[in-house]
Amino acid sequence: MEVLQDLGRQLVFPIDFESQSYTESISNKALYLITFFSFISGYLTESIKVSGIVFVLGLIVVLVIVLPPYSAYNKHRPQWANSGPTVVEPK
Amino acid sequence: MFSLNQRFQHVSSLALSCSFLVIALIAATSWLQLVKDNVFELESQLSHIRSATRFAKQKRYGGSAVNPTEVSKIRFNADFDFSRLFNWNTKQVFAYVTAEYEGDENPHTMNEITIWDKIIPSRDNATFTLSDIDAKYQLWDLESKITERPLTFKLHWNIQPWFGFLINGETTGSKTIELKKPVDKQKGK
Repeated sequence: MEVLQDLGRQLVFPIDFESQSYTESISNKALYLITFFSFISGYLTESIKVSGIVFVLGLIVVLVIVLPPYSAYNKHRPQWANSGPTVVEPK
Repeated sequence: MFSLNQRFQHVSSLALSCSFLVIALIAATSWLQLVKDNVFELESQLSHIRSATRFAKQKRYGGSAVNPTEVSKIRFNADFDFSRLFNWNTKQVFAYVTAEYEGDENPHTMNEITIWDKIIPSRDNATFTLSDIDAKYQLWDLESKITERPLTFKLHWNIQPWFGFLINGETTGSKTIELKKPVDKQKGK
């Protein structure tokens, strides 16, 4: 079980705060657009298949944009204060 | 959206909701398309309905040696065009002919028996001109008599869509006739 917990800690892939709000808003907007376009494309071509293909391809693109922890998503890491005791040097 | 797991769950759950929206839109617009095409008043022609009736003593027809049941075989001509039932959300169409009649002993019960059916899988083969075909299923009743009462023959359709509910309807060309009495001496015994 130790191994699994270690593996879990390795697979977190965090991103910084700015990128978290950015990925959330862009994935929401993209999915609403995909919904609209998949319906319209299917309606115009009169084919359920086209609708499904547009939806799945759009979903894959969103996942590729949002999921991986690109280095651009980790540029604004906050600098946390040291948690250990600070040494105050006497003057 | 902190970890990979959270990002994946957010995107996939929203995508599932969005796919339900697409499905609802497809079902709604295809139903409106059917209404616009006026399919609920489709015309059809049932003609030349004729029958051969015999007395059955077998138990599966509800008959007995003493009191045999009348069993009718029907032949008919049919002429219909169901290509308007096909739009982008139609998987297949089920067409069936029924005979409707009121009970003799219980006049307020309505009976409906399917005598013929057909699965139509595509728009290209949705126009039928059938002449002199045998019904697939024989016609008999719980009561021992089926002849000499008005039977209304109707052609119904049933759309099975890719998304959405089943849609039922019947065509306008119905025909009411009385089947001929069987020429058989067994009944007299």
